[in-house]
Amino acid sequence: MSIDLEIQRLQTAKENIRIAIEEKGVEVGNGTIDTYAEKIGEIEVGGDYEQGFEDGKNSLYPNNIPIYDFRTFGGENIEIENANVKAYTVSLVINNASDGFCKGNTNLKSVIAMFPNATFGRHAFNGCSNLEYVKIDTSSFFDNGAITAFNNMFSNCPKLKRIDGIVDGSKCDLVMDNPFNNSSAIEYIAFAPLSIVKSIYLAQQGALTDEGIQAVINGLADLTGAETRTLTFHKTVGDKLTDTQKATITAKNWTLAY
Amino acid sequence: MIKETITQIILKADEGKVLTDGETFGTTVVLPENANQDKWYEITEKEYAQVTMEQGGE
Repeated sequence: MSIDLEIQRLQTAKENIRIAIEEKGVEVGNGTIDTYAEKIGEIEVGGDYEQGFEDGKNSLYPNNIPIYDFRTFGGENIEIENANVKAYTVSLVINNASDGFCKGNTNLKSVIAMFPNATFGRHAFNGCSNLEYVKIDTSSFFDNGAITAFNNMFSNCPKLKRIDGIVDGSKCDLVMDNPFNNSSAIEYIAFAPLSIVKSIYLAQQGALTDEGIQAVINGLADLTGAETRTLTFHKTVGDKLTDTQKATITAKNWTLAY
Repeated sequence: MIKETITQIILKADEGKVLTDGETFGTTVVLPENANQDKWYEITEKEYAQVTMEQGGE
């Protein structure tokens, strides 16, 4: 290879290195290859983000998660600031966390969270504008935790599509009327069967799949003999309900609105 | 053989109106037999838009 071609090759390689580093969020600018080498040390170690997201989403149990940017938080009043959670796929163990422990975190794309004790979920993921997937999990090592307050828990998450795991509303002591405010892309929420005990508002969730719709219906507690509660669906969803589904809802003493 | 009879009360809002009980809204409301249907009344779509704009939760 001629010297000119070799120089051109090295210049191209240098430019490719600059681009690769900047794609990892580190500004390089102009400089020598030694400068670039120093910048490599500023790259947050986290593995392949896209693969980590997919692996986190597809894993079944926390112990089996291929870990990319793994974080575990425990203790009281844990708050996760944007600056501290640069990772996009995290696994959280929340013990007695305060309200809004992930509120406004625009980095998060995929979260697996465990709630070992009854905790507030208020504003937990409110405003996580890039959040696409959440899994609420419980572990056999902990008492089966159930969240007591769901106010705006998943509100303002415009990209959130799926909430897997177990969403147990049986300990909810406040109305469940706005946990999904302005999160209209939601297709499925893994409600624990017969666990929804308070009125629930899903009027903005027109993207619920057939699976998602049935999960809601199965999640409704049987209120026979008790005060009736209200399930509000998006009109599109309501129009898709079968007579059997409507009958199931009212047989459990729920009022259906859409 | 099990026979089950489920009675529903179905309320449908007139054109341009929305049903509400003061907290819940819908153009169609399906009530279980023993529910209090008297608490449901109609509002205009404009009134509904105003109310939902003001709502947002704490």
